Amino acid sequence: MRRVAGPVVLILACILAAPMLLAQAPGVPNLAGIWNRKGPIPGRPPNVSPVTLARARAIGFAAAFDEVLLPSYDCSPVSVPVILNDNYNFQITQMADRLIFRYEKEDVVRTIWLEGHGHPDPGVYDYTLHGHSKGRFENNQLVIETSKFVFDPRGFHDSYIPSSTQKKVTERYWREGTLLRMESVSEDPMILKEPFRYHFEWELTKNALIAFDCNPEDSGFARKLFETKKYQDPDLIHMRLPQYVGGVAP
Amino acid sequence: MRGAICAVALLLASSAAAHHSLSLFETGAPVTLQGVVKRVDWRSPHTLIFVETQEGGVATEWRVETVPNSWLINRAGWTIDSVKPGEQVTVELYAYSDKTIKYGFLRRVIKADGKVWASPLDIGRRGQREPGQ
Repeated sequence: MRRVAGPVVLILACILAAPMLLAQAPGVPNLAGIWNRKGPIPGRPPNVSPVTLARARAIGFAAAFDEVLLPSYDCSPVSVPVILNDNYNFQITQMADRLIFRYEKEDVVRTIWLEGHGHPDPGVYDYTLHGHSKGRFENNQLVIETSKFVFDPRGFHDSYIPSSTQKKVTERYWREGTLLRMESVSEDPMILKEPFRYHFEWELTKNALIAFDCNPEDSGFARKLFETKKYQDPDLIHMRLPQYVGGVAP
Repeated sequence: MRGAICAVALLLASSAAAHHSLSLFETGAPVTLQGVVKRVDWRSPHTLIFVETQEGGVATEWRVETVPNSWLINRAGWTIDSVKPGEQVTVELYAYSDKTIKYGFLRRVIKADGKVWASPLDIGRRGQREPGQ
Protein backbone atom coordinates (compact mmCIF):
# COMPACT_ATOMS: atom_id res chain seq x y z
CA MET A 1 0.00 0.00 0.00
CA ARG A 2 2.82 2.38 0.91
CA ARG A 3 4.48 1.66 -2.46
CA VAL A 4 1.33 2.95 -4.19
CA ALA A 5 0.66 5.89 -1.87
CA GLY A 6 4.06 7.55 -2.43
CA PRO A 7 3.73 8.15 -6.18
CA VAL A 8 0.04 9.05 -5.84
CA VAL A 9 0.87 11.74 -3.29
CA LEU A 10 3.66 13.02 -5.53
CA ILE A 11 1.32 13.21 -8.55
CA LEU A 12 -1.34 14.99 -6.50
CA ALA A 13 1.23 17.46 -5.22
CA CYS A 14 2.35 18.19 -8.78
CA ILE A 15 -1.25 18.74 -9.92
CA LEU A 16 -1.94 21.11 -7.03
CA ALA A 17 1.30 23.01 -7.65
CA ALA A 18 0.72 23.31 -11.41
CA PRO A 19 -0.61 26.89 -11.33
CA MET A 20 2.37 28.01 -9.28
CA LEU A 21 4.82 26.21 -11.57
CA LEU A 22 3.15 27.81 -14.57
CA ALA A 23 3.51 31.24 -13.05
CA GLN A 24 7.21 30.69 -12.62
CA ALA A 25 7.78 29.50 -16.17
CA PRO A 26 9.58 32.04 -18.39
CA GLY A 27 7.19 34.22 -20.36
CA VAL A 28 4.18 33.14 -18.33
CA PRO A 29 2.89 35.84 -15.96
CA ASN A 30 1.17 34.92 -12.72
CA LEU A 31 -2.36 36.23 -13.23
CA ALA A 32 -4.07 34.10 -10.61
CA GLY A 33 -6.14 35.79 -7.93
CA ILE A 34 -9.22 37.88 -7.27
CA TRP A 35 -8.94 41.27 -8.92
CA ASN A 36 -10.56 44.49 -7.75
CA ARG A 37 -11.39 46.96 -10.47
CA LYS A 38 -9.50 50.29 -10.21
CA GLY A 39 -10.34 51.99 -13.50
CA PRO A 40 -8.65 52.92 -16.78
CA ILE A 41 -4.85 52.70 -16.98
CA PRO A 42 -3.52 56.13 -15.94
CA GLY A 43 -1.75 58.23 -18.53
CA ARG A 44 -3.57 56.79 -21.51
CA PRO A 45 -6.24 58.43 -23.67
CA PRO A 46 -9.72 57.90 -22.17
CA ASN A 47 -11.68 54.88 -23.26
CA VAL A 48 -14.10 55.75 -26.02
CA SER A 49 -17.62 54.38 -26.03
CA PRO A 50 -18.45 51.92 -28.82
CA VAL A 51 -21.61 53.97 -29.35
CA THR A 52 -19.39 56.60 -30.94
CA LEU A 53 -18.17 54.09 -33.51
CA ALA A 54 -21.46 52.34 -34.22
CA ARG A 55 -22.58 52.14 -37.85
CA ALA A 56 -25.95 53.56 -38.86
CA ARG A 57 -27.55 50.11 -38.86
CA ALA A 58 -26.47 49.65 -35.25
CA ILE A 59 -27.90 53.02 -34.23
CA GLY A 60 -31.09 52.13 -36.11
CA PHE A 61 -31.30 48.84 -34.26
CA ALA A 62 -30.85 50.58 -30.93
CA ALA A 63 -33.48 53.20 -31.74
CA ALA A 64 -36.02 50.56 -32.72
CA PHE A 65 -35.23 48.15 -29.93
CA ASP A 66 -38.07 47.46 -27.52
CA GLU A 67 -36.66 47.43 -24.02
CA VAL A 68 -39.04 44.74 -22.83
CA LEU A 69 -37.07 42.33 -25.03
CA LEU A 70 -33.89 42.86 -23.01
CA PRO A 71 -32.37 39.47 -22.19
CA SER A 72 -31.25 40.78 -18.79
CA TYR A 73 -34.89 40.71 -17.66
CA ASP A 74 -34.47 36.93 -17.64
CA CYS A 75 -31.02 37.03 -16.03
CA SER A 76 -29.28 36.38 -19.36
CA PRO A 77 -25.71 37.68 -18.99
CA VAL A 78 -23.56 39.96 -21.14
CA SER A 79 -20.46 38.97 -23.07
CA VAL A 80 -17.08 40.57 -23.79
CA PRO A 81 -16.32 43.42 -24.30
CA VAL A 82 -19.31 44.72 -22.29
CA ILE A 83 -18.37 42.70 -19.23
CA LEU A 84 -14.87 44.21 -19.31
CA ASN A 85 -16.32 47.69 -18.96
CA ASP A 86 -18.64 46.89 -16.08
CA ASN A 87 -17.51 47.71 -12.58
CA TYR A 88 -17.24 44.29 -10.96
CA ASN A 89 -14.43 42.16 -9.56
CA PHE A 90 -13.33 38.91 -11.14
CA GLN A 91 -11.11 35.93 -10.46
CA ILE A 92 -8.51 34.23 -12.64
CA THR A 93 -7.55 30.60 -12.07
CA GLN A 94 -4.51 29.49 -14.03
CA MET A 95 -4.20 25.84 -15.08
CA ALA A 96 -1.87 23.93 -17.35
CA ASP A 97 -4.15 23.88 -20.39
CA ARG A 98 -6.67 26.63 -19.65
CA LEU A 99 -7.53 29.67 -17.58
CA ILE A 100 -10.86 30.18 -15.86
CA PHE A 101 -12.24 33.72 -15.60
CA ARG A 102 -15.00 33.96 -13.02
CA TYR A 103 -16.86 37.28 -12.84
CA GLU A 104 -19.06 38.78 -10.14
CA LYS A 105 -21.10 40.24 -12.97
CA GLU A 106 -23.94 37.80 -13.63
CA ASP A 107 -21.81 34.93 -12.26
CA VAL A 108 -20.23 34.54 -15.70
CA VAL A 109 -17.55 31.86 -16.08
CA ARG A 110 -15.31 31.91 -19.14
CA THR A 111 -12.86 29.20 -20.12
CA ILE A 112 -9.77 30.29 -22.05
CA TRP A 113 -8.29 27.29 -23.86
CA LEU A 114 -4.52 27.58 -24.17
CA GLU A 115 -3.13 26.80 -27.59
CA GLY A 116 -0.98 23.72 -28.00
CA HIS A 117 -2.91 21.50 -25.62
CA GLY A 118 -5.13 19.77 -28.13
CA HIS A 119 -8.42 21.51 -27.41
CA PRO A 120 -10.43 21.38 -30.64
CA ASP A 121 -11.48 24.51 -32.49
CA PRO A 122 -15.23 25.15 -32.59
CA GLY A 123 -17.24 23.71 -35.45
CA VAL A 124 -19.09 25.67 -38.10
CA TYR A 125 -22.28 25.79 -36.06
CA ASP A 126 -20.70 26.36 -32.65
CA TYR A 127 -21.82 29.91 -31.86
CA THR A 128 -22.44 30.84 -28.23
CA LEU A 129 -23.13 33.91 -26.09
CA HIS A 130 -19.57 34.06 -24.74
CA GLY A 131 -17.95 32.75 -27.91
CA HIS A 132 -14.88 30.53 -28.12
CA SER A 133 -11.76 31.84 -26.39
CA LYS A 134 -8.26 30.75 -27.31
CA GLY A 135 -5.25 31.91 -25.30
CA ARG A 136 -1.47 32.05 -25.58
CA PHE A 137 1.39 33.62 -23.67
CA GLU A 138 3.38 36.20 -25.57
CA ASN A 139 6.08 38.44 -24.08
CA ASN A 140 4.83 37.94 -20.52
CA GLN A 141 1.28 38.72 -21.59
CA LEU A 142 -1.78 36.51 -21.86
CA VAL A 143 -3.38 37.06 -25.26
CA ILE A 144 -7.00 35.93 -25.63
CA GLU A 145 -8.82 35.87 -28.93
CA THR A 146 -12.55 35.26 -28.79
CA SER A 147 -14.92 34.74 -31.73
CA LYS A 148 -17.95 32.60 -32.65
CA PHE A 149 -20.42 34.81 -30.76
CA VAL A 150 -24.15 34.60 -31.39
CA PHE A 151 -25.91 37.82 -32.37
CA ASP A 152 -26.28 39.78 -29.14
CA PRO A 153 -28.67 42.77 -28.85
CA ARG A 154 -26.31 44.49 -26.41
CA GLY A 155 -23.08 42.89 -27.53
CA PHE A 156 -21.23 46.21 -27.55
CA HIS A 157 -23.15 48.47 -25.22
CA ASP A 158 -26.05 48.47 -22.79
CA SER A 159 -27.74 51.05 -25.02
CA TYR A 160 -28.66 48.14 -27.31
CA ILE A 161 -25.67 48.51 -29.62
CA PRO A 162 -25.66 44.92 -30.86
CA SER A 163 -22.84 42.67 -31.97
CA SER A 164 -23.04 40.36 -34.94
CA THR A 165 -21.67 36.87 -35.47
CA GLN A 166 -18.58 38.62 -36.88
CA LYS A 167 -17.57 40.06 -33.51
CA LYS A 168 -14.00 39.36 -32.53
CA VAL A 169 -12.43 40.48 -29.25
CA THR A 170 -8.71 40.37 -28.46
CA GLU A 171 -7.65 40.89 -24.85
CA ARG A 172 -4.10 41.25 -23.54
CA TYR A 173 -3.42 40.86 -19.80
CA TRP A 174 -0.15 41.51 -18.05
CA ARG A 175 1.23 42.22 -14.58
CA GLU A 176 2.87 45.46 -13.49
CA GLY A 177 3.89 45.02 -9.88
CA THR A 178 0.77 44.36 -7.87
CA LEU A 179 -1.49 45.45 -10.70
CA LEU A 180 -3.19 43.48 -13.43
CA ARG A 181 -3.57 45.48 -16.62
CA MET A 182 -5.60 44.78 -19.74
CA GLU A 183 -6.06 46.19 -23.18
CA SER A 184 -8.75 44.92 -25.52
CA VAL A 185 -9.55 45.49 -29.17
CA SER A 186 -13.08 44.77 -30.37
CA GLU A 187 -13.91 44.35 -34.04
CA ASP A 188 -17.13 43.83 -35.93
CA PRO A 189 -17.28 45.19 -39.49
CA MET A 190 -21.07 44.77 -39.60
CA ILE A 191 -21.64 46.96 -36.55
CA LEU A 192 -18.61 49.20 -36.01
CA LYS A 193 -17.01 51.76 -38.31
CA GLU A 194 -13.64 50.84 -36.81
CA PRO A 195 -12.36 48.72 -33.91
CA PHE A 196 -12.38 50.22 -30.45
CA ARG A 197 -10.13 49.69 -27.45
CA TYR A 198 -10.66 49.42 -23.73
CA HIS A 199 -7.90 49.58 -21.15
CA PHE A 200 -8.36 48.88 -17.46
CA GLU A 201 -6.38 47.87 -14.39
CA TRP A 202 -7.16 45.89 -11.27
CA GLU A 203 -5.45 45.26 -7.94
CA LEU A 204 -5.37 42.05 -5.94
CA THR A 205 -7.98 41.78 -3.23
CA LYS A 206 -8.46 39.34 -0.40
CA ASN A 207 -12.22 39.82 -0.53
CA ALA A 208 -14.12 36.86 -1.90
CA LEU A 209 -16.22 37.31 -5.00
CA ILE A 210 -19.78 38.34 -4.19
CA ALA A 211 -22.29 36.10 -5.91
CA PHE A 212 -24.53 37.99 -8.33
CA ASP A 213 -27.31 35.59 -7.44
CA CYS A 214 -29.70 36.92 -10.07
CA ASN A 215 -33.31 36.77 -9.01
CA PRO A 216 -35.46 36.24 -12.13
CA GLU A 217 -38.60 37.50 -10.42
CA ASP A 218 -36.94 40.75 -9.41
CA SER A 219 -35.06 40.96 -12.67
CA GLY A 220 -38.28 40.85 -14.67
CA PHE A 221 -40.32 43.10 -12.39
CA ALA A 222 -39.76 46.36 -14.30
CA ARG A 223 -40.53 44.67 -17.61
CA LYS A 224 -44.17 44.34 -16.59
CA LEU A 225 -44.42 48.09 -16.15
CA PHE A 226 -43.28 49.19 -19.58
CA GLU A 227 -46.06 50.46 -21.75
CA THR A 228 -45.51 48.46 -24.91
CA LYS A 229 -48.42 49.64 -27.02
CA LYS A 230 -46.33 52.34 -28.66
CA TYR A 231 -44.03 49.67 -30.00
CA GLN A 232 -46.77 47.68 -31.69
CA ASP A 233 -47.34 50.05 -34.58
CA PRO A 234 -44.73 49.30 -37.27
CA ASP A 235 -45.09 52.80 -38.72
CA LEU A 236 -44.23 54.27 -35.36
CA ILE A 237 -41.14 52.11 -35.09
CA HIS A 238 -40.18 53.40 -38.51
CA MET A 239 -40.51 56.96 -37.27
CA ARG A 240 -38.04 56.27 -34.50
CA LEU A 241 -35.24 55.29 -36.86
CA PRO A 242 -32.34 57.77 -36.95
CA GLN A 243 -32.94 59.12 -40.42
CA TYR A 244 -36.16 60.62 -39.05
CA VAL A 245 -34.82 61.86 -35.73
CA GLY A 246 -34.67 65.64 -35.81
CA GLY A 247 -35.56 65.67 -39.49
CA VAL A 248 -38.51 65.63 -41.78
CA ALA A 249 -40.09 62.31 -42.67
CA PRO A 250 -40.42 61.81 -46.41
CA MET B 1 -24.31 64.88 -36.97
CA ARG B 2 -27.67 63.20 -36.65
CA GLY B 3 -25.88 59.99 -35.77
CA ALA B 4 -24.05 61.77 -32.97
CA ILE B 5 -27.27 63.34 -31.68
CA CYS B 6 -28.94 59.96 -31.81
CA ALA B 7 -26.05 58.34 -29.96
CA VAL B 8 -26.27 60.92 -27.18
CA ALA B 9 -30.03 60.45 -26.99
CA LEU B 10 -29.55 56.71 -26.71
CA LEU B 11 -27.10 57.12 -23.90
CA LEU B 12 -29.34 59.46 -22.00
CA ALA B 13 -32.10 56.91 -22.31
CA SER B 14 -29.88 54.09 -21.24
CA SER B 15 -29.27 52.87 -17.80
CA ALA B 16 -26.65 53.81 -15.32
CA ALA B 17 -27.86 50.74 -13.51
CA ALA B 18 -27.19 48.64 -16.63
CA HIS B 19 -29.91 46.09 -15.98
CA HIS B 20 -32.74 48.31 -17.20
CA SER B 21 -33.16 51.95 -18.08
CA LEU B 22 -34.37 54.59 -15.65
CA SER B 23 -36.98 55.72 -18.15
CA LEU B 24 -39.65 54.19 -15.91
CA PHE B 25 -38.86 56.63 -13.15
CA GLU B 26 -39.37 60.37 -12.73
CA THR B 27 -35.72 61.25 -12.34
CA GLY B 28 -36.41 64.99 -12.49
CA ALA B 29 -38.46 65.01 -9.28
CA PRO B 30 -37.06 62.89 -6.44
CA VAL B 31 -39.52 61.80 -3.76
CA THR B 32 -38.80 61.62 -0.03
CA LEU B 33 -40.45 58.98 2.17
CA GLN B 34 -40.32 58.26 5.85
CA GLY B 35 -40.96 54.78 7.11
CA VAL B 36 -39.70 51.55 8.59
CA VAL B 37 -37.50 49.05 6.77
CA LYS B 38 -39.40 45.77 6.51
CA ARG B 39 -36.93 43.70 4.51
CA VAL B 40 -33.66 43.99 2.57
CA ASP B 41 -32.89 41.51 -0.22
CA TRP B 42 -29.16 41.45 -0.90
CA ARG B 43 -29.24 40.15 -4.42
CA SER B 44 -28.81 41.20 -8.00
CA PRO B 45 -29.54 42.77 -10.40
CA HIS B 46 -30.98 44.97 -7.64
CA THR B 47 -30.62 44.97 -3.92
CA LEU B 48 -34.19 45.61 -2.80
CA ILE B 49 -35.30 47.56 0.25
CA PHE B 50 -38.94 47.26 1.26
CA VAL B 51 -40.10 50.26 3.31
CA GLU B 52 -43.45 50.59 5.07
CA THR B 53 -44.87 54.11 5.19
CA GLN B 54 -48.10 55.51 6.59
CA GLU B 55 -50.27 57.26 4.02
CA GLY B 56 -53.49 58.64 5.49
CA GLY B 57 -53.26 56.19 8.34
CA VAL B 58 -52.87 53.25 6.01
CA ALA B 59 -49.70 51.16 5.97
CA THR B 60 -48.20 51.14 2.49
CA GLU B 61 -45.20 49.13 1.34
CA TRP B 62 -42.74 50.65 -1.12
CA ARG B 63 -40.47 48.52 -3.25
CA VAL B 64 -37.18 50.41 -3.53
CA GLU B 65 -34.65 49.18 -6.06
CA THR B 66 -31.00 49.97 -5.85
CA VAL B 67 -27.82 48.82 -7.56
CA PRO B 68 -26.41 45.25 -7.42
CA ASN B 69 -25.22 43.93 -4.07
CA SER B 70 -21.53 43.91 -5.03
CA TRP B 71 -21.62 47.57 -6.10
CA LEU B 72 -23.07 48.61 -2.75
CA ILE B 73 -20.47 46.57 -0.85
CA ASN B 74 -17.36 46.95 -3.02
CA ARG B 75 -17.96 50.41 -4.45
CA ALA B 76 -20.20 52.34 -2.08
CA GLY B 77 -18.99 51.01 1.27
CA TRP B 78 -22.23 49.42 2.44
CA THR B 79 -22.35 46.36 4.67
CA ILE B 80 -25.31 44.12 5.36
CA ASP B 81 -25.75 46.10 8.59
CA SER B 82 -26.01 49.46 6.82
CA VAL B 83 -29.78 49.22 6.52
CA LYS B 84 -31.62 46.65 8.59
CA PRO B 85 -35.24 45.59 9.08
CA GLY B 86 -37.01 47.51 11.84
CA GLU B 87 -35.05 50.72 11.38
CA GLN B 88 -36.77 54.08 10.96
CA VAL B 89 -35.43 55.69 7.80
CA THR B 90 -35.88 58.56 5.37
CA VAL B 91 -35.61 57.39 1.79
CA GLU B 92 -35.02 59.57 -1.25
CA LEU B 93 -35.96 57.87 -4.50
CA TYR B 94 -37.05 58.34 -8.07
CA ALA B 95 -40.64 57.14 -8.15
CA TYR B 96 -42.33 55.14 -10.86
CA SER B 97 -44.53 57.40 -12.97
CA ASP B 98 -47.76 55.58 -12.04
CA LYS B 99 -48.19 56.61 -8.39
CA THR B 100 -50.64 53.80 -7.69
CA ILE B 101 -47.63 51.47 -7.81
CA LYS B 102 -45.31 52.07 -4.89
CA TYR B 103 -42.04 51.49 -6.66
CA GLY B 104 -38.91 53.55 -7.02
CA PHE B 105 -35.16 53.65 -7.57
CA LEU B 106 -33.07 54.62 -4.56
CA ARG B 107 -30.98 57.79 -4.35
CA ARG B 108 -30.06 57.51 -0.69
CA VAL B 109 -31.16 56.33 2.72
CA ILE B 110 -30.89 58.63 5.73
CA LYS B 111 -30.96 56.83 9.05
CA ALA B 112 -32.33 58.13 12.34
CA ASP B 113 -28.80 59.02 13.53
CA GLY B 114 -28.17 61.08 10.39
CA LYS B 115 -25.94 58.53 8.69
CA VAL B 116 -26.44 58.60 4.93
CA TRP B 117 -26.08 55.58 2.65
CA ALA B 118 -26.00 56.65 -0.98
CA SER B 119 -26.66 54.51 -4.00
CA PRO B 120 -24.63 56.26 -6.68
CA LEU B 121 -25.94 55.60 -10.15
CA ASP B 122 -22.64 56.30 -11.82
CA ILE B 123 -20.86 53.29 -10.34
CA GLY B 124 -21.49 51.08 -13.32
CA ARG B 125 -19.44 52.53 -16.10
CA ARG B 126 -16.37 53.87 -14.44
CA GLY B 127 -13.74 54.75 -16.97
CA GLN B 128 -15.58 55.07 -20.21
CA ARG B 129 -15.96 58.34 -22.00
CA GLU B 130 -19.37 58.73 -23.58
CA PRO B 131 -20.18 61.06 -26.47
CA GLY B 132 -20.58 64.62 -25.32
CA GLN B 133 -18.29 64.25 -22.30
